Amino acid sequence: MIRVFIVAGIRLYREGLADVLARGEGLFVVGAHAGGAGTLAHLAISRPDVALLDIATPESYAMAREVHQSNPEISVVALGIRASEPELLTCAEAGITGYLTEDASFDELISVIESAARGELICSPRLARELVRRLAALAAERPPDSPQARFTPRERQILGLLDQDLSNKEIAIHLGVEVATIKNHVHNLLEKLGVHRRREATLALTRARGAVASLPA
Amino acid sequence: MPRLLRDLVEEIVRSQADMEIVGRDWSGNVAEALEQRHADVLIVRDIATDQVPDERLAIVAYSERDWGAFAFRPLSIAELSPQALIQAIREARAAST
Repeated sequence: MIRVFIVAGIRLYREGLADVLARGEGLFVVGAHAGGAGTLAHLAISRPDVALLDIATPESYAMAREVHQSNPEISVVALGIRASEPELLTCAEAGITGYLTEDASFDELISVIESAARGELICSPRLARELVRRLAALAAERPPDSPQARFTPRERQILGLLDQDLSNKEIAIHLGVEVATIKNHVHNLLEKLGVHRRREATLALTRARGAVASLPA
Repeated sequence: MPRLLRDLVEEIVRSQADMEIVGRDWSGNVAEALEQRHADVLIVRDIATDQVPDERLAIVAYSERDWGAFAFRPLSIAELSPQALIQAIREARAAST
């Protein structure tokens, strides 16, 4: 049974959809709200699988974002969009995973709700391409995910000394700490790198450096 | 009328045992729709204007006072419940017979 919550400022949509969807098989309308203050609280209490959100105003997107951020397990379906590419991208950025235009049929509405409940995102190949392009642009703005970023400053320091073939005792003397402390750090380093020997750790680091260096600018 | 709104209105009407949909998407005039389809009432979308910014439906039926004229009952969908829509259809039908 799919639990559906309806958010629509227009009463005929809100109550009409609640009545009609409740008659359908496999759907259970757990609540309806006009939007604005109190909507998120009602959603949290009702715990729907799908929130059906009438996109009547620009504020509706802010509502979708809030629903997505506060209840990421709820799939948000937007109702009444015009389906222009910029609007569809706005939907995606707001965390909306399903959408319907005003010209959609009632059967399509049920189909989109069912898809959203399954965790699917239905979109055109054109929109999918645009979403991938946006994702790539965002990834390019981020610094490369260096493996060294996973380590603490002390671990990075010790990794550098391991790379120079220093023993635990030599590293301890170099850093002015107990050998036992170095042993702990080396143990953590090996675990983070997913290797068993210190030599493997320095090889993994060398490989990772090479991979980062070969990334396109 | 947007398809989704039309489907929704149809589902609400069909849920009533004493009502049926005899036609849709009529492009002719009101009299033709009422007479040729033997409809008691028409449900039309009332396009919003500057004076009436909200979206409305209208129930159209023959006027009870002046046969040949039409009674036009506008309904704002912003505050219209399914029960109020059914009630308005019943009232329009009763007034035209």
